[in-house]
Amino acid sequence: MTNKLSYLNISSLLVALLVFISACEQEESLPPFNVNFANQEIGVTASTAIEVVFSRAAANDGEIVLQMNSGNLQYGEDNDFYTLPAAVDQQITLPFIAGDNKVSFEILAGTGLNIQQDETITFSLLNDVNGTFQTGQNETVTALFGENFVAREGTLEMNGGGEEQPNQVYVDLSKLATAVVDKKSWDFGFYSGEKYRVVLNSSAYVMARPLNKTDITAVTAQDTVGFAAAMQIPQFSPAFGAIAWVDSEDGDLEKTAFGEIAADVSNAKVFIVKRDGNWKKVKIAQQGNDYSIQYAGLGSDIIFNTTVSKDDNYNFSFFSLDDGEVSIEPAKDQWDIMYGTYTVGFPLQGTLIPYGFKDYVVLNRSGVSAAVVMESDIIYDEFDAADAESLTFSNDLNVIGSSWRSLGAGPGGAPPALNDDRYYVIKDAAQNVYKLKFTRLVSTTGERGYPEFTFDLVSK
Amino acid sequence: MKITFYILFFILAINVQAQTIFLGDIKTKEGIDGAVISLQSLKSNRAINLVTENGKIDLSSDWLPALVSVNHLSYEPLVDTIFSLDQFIYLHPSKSFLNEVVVTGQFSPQSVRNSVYQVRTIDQHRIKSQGATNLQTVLQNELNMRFDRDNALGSSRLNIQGISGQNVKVLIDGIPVVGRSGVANEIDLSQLNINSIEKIEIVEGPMAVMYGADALAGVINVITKKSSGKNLELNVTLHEETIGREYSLFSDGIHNPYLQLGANINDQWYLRVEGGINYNGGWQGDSEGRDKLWHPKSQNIAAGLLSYTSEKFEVFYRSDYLHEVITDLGQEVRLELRDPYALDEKFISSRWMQQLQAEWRLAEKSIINSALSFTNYERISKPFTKNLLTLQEDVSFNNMDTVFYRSLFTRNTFLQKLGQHEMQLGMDATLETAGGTTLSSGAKYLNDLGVFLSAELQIGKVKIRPGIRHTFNSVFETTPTPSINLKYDFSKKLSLRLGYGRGFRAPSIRELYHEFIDTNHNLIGNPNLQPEYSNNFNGDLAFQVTPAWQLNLAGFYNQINNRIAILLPEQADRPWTYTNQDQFKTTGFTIRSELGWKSLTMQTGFAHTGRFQLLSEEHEFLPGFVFSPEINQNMTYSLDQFGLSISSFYKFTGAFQDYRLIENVPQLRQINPFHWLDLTATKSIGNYLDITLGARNLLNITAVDNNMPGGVHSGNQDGSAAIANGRSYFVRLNFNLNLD
Repeated sequence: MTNKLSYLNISSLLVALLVFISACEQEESLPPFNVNFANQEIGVTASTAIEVVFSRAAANDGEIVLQMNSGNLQYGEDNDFYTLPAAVDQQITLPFIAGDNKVSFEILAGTGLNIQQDETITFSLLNDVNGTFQTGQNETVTALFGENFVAREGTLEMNGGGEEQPNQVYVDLSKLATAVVDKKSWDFGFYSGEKYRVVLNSSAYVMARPLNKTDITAVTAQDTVGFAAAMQIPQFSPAFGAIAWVDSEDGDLEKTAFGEIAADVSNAKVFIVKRDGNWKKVKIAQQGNDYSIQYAGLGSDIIFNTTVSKDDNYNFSFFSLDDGEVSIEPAKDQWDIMYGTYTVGFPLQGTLIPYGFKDYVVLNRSGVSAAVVMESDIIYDEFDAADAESLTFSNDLNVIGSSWRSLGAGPGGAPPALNDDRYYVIKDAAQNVYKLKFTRLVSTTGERGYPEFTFDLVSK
Repeated sequence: MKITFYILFFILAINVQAQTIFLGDIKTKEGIDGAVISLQSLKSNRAINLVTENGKIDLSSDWLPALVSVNHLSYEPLVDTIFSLDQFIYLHPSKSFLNEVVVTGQFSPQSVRNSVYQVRTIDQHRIKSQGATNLQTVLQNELNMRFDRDNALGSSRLNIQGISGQNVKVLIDGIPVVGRSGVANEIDLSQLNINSIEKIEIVEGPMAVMYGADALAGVINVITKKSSGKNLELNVTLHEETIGREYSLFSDGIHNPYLQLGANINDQWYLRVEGGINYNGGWQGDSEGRDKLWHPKSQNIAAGLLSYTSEKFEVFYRSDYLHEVITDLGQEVRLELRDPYALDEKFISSRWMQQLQAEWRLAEKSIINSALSFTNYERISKPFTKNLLTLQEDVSFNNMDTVFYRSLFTRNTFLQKLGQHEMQLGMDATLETAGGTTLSSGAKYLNDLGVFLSAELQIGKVKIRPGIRHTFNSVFETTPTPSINLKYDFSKKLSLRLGYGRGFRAPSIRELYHEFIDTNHNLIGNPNLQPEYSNNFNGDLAFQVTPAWQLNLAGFYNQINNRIAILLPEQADRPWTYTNQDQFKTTGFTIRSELGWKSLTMQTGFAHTGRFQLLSEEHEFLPGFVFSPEINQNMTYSLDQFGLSISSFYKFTGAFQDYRLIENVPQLRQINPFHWLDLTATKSIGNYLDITLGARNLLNITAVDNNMPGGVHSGNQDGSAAIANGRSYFVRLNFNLNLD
């Protein structure tokens, strides 16, 4: 029996050892990871970053080598273009360290750039001599110099800034470009069109509630008793009617909290504005072709008074109660969709309450429209220009909204998830039609605020 | 390998038992001492009376064949003819349910019949015959006990008498279990080791005098095995179960191996070690891909006991360890430029509970009991990215939540008997430390000291037990909690119990120090919370129709003041928090029957439980209570000549109803009722092996309709409440080897 036992022991030890060895070997023989350009083509402006993404984080330090083919263009800071890091013998070397998910380099226009027609340069990834990585399907990227670049396809990750999504991200699909702003850097947008309207910063959950007073100096904290409990996002008591103090998420300018801006300053009502935890009194009126705004802290006698002009290049003139006029949205023909948090009317007990949504997408109101398509009707890959013609496009800013993901089950419950049963078709102001599908709700490491979508040009 | 074990022990065991007549308990297989065996030799007409020792008698073979008649007070008499000496004779316990000894709430162990509290017991035979793999399976068959499931965490929330589980004190051998977790803020009963349970005692209603905080709706006391009549005992259990239709040899389904070893080192010392794995592969159900409807869960459990017994002094040390991993598998993400991956999350809990308990019998009439325990409980939730190509797990961003609880507990009581009366003086103290990422920063300390005094006075046919406790807490104020119970015996067959008790639930560390702040939530704990107080009235009438038929009619009324609920603040810049605000009430009655008739035992019951409707205070036309019925029936039929017993476990759970405001109008909403039925059969093969086969949830319940409105995060978006994972089947092998 003792012999048997020790035999058993020895054989189990041997088995364990074998398992251990094979586990070690497995560690050694990880399949090579893939390296790819994030996109196959890109339009070059003054400076443009080009990303090389890894199929997984690198296990060890290493370097990526790119072969450059500059075509008719001359390399050099004083010539047509140059790169950072610099190219040596038509090759660019990008070092990476263990844990990196991607590397990038920049193409910059040189001082000598003066092109008469579209010019392209290409970069190609080279396979690793050690075999730790291999090139994938996006082995080559074509960079186009010229005004006419329209992306035929692309993949973009939104930089929402993390779990709390402090950023607003404006996306220009045709240029494969994003612009990121701090959502708390503004309060109001003064409409540049014919009407006189003011929108609230719905991404920063700004609220405005009218008082029955027109004299801003006569407004004191006494006028706001009970406001604190009522002016909340989210407001779980429908009885307060708090939905009236936020803008409609469909972007309808007839359903704003400020309403029609009074033509005469003497008729303009004072509003109590709640923004990021602090309170202001604000009075806005028309002033010629512009707007006048008076504002102050709740109990303050020091009233600021300024004028905000319309600028036809932008949807709105943006204004911060801390910093005055600020630059927020790109010019109105240079973006299509905005990603970030947003104030939404949510039905609770049959009444809408204002509720803060994360991961919300709104359209640019200047000529951008969109439609939802279910995969069960036409699968994404088969959707073409003919299909686009039979779609009904909507100008409501919330066509996409949060419909690309499910609502979570709350603290401790199931988190929100991607709705992969649908995709979107977006027509931009230049009549480019894109189909767009969200591929991730969270970053590849699970962090909220970094979703990714991919899109393809359907027609021009 | 396992089979080799079986064969090996089988051979050993047979050798040991030869040449004796062994008299054992049919269920425990343990030897019965003090049984009188009258033997009449059929050959020579000689007769002899023998008394068993260690369950055995020795006899020379010239008595055979012989007619034997066996008598023992606690067992059914038996008459048989024996032809050989290496015989096993098993006796049935006499079917009187009232001689059962209980300890919960008692000064010293005494029979159910004499207890001033109505104590319900569930013994290990019931647990085994149901093939239960967790405590919930057993308790959900009981009246006045309901569970609702939290699919996200795979735990279940308990309700007793319509009151939530955070008001229930869960004890192991009288020591509080530490580690309230989850949103429900209560002990996760699935984290208690069901294999080491000898029996469960349940007392409904407040037991605050003896057990202090949180013993408001009731006490569940898990009692473990502390001694054995056997010198050496080895028990190996293998439990294999399907989850719905899902089962495979190593991953899907339930795979629970367990090993127990007990040894009497000498007359004083007893040692027991045990351990095993509870593996639950999760339930796919309707979900597709990697994601499972119920998450896989794996528990490693180990326990040990060392006890010393002498005439005047008993002491034992017990250690219980649990390590649990629940894995939430994410869907596979396939992106063009990435390796396929999934976002998974692990919920890892560990609890190590150690206890030392002693009893000194100073004199015939004075007994000191002391208990000391230390528990360390930790829970971590860890999201990670799993690369499905390389299978690497990458916890690459800091989103782990951790919470820990450490608790040092002691209880010391002094019991003095004065003639027929008894008086107990006691103190207990708890030093609790907690911390974690979901609490506001810094370790939290919650210390309390309780002193209590109670007496049991026997005055003629009346037994009166008054008691009072006062607790001093480092965080909140408390008021004294008195109780009085009395029992009146109209006759030996009919007795009445009446009780009043005050109970309290201490604000939990979560309610005191919770912190949950993000875009849409600003919820923080309230360190100024006060305990919830309850007044409970209960009574029951016990009627013993025959020695084997017991009827019981019971009623209760609970009223809780100061109930802790979430408060919406008046001012916008204030966060939400917990305050003492509401009151809550429940009331109801139960009828129970326990019947033993020949080979059949049958428990049947009906309960009707009402829950207070807060909306009725503002809407006069609403009823103050909404009632829900429950029916249960558990049956066992034993065919001893075949070593076979067949059991059924049935419960009807009535609709759970509540009035809710729908567009400002109260409407009655409900979770639908359902029926539950388990069928099992156990067959003994030889003296060493029991095989149990069972079908669980024969009516194939998965979810029932639920039209309770949810909040913004509606937990029941599909309008249903999860109950179970469909009809399942199990087989359980129990190998038991005893050496005398």
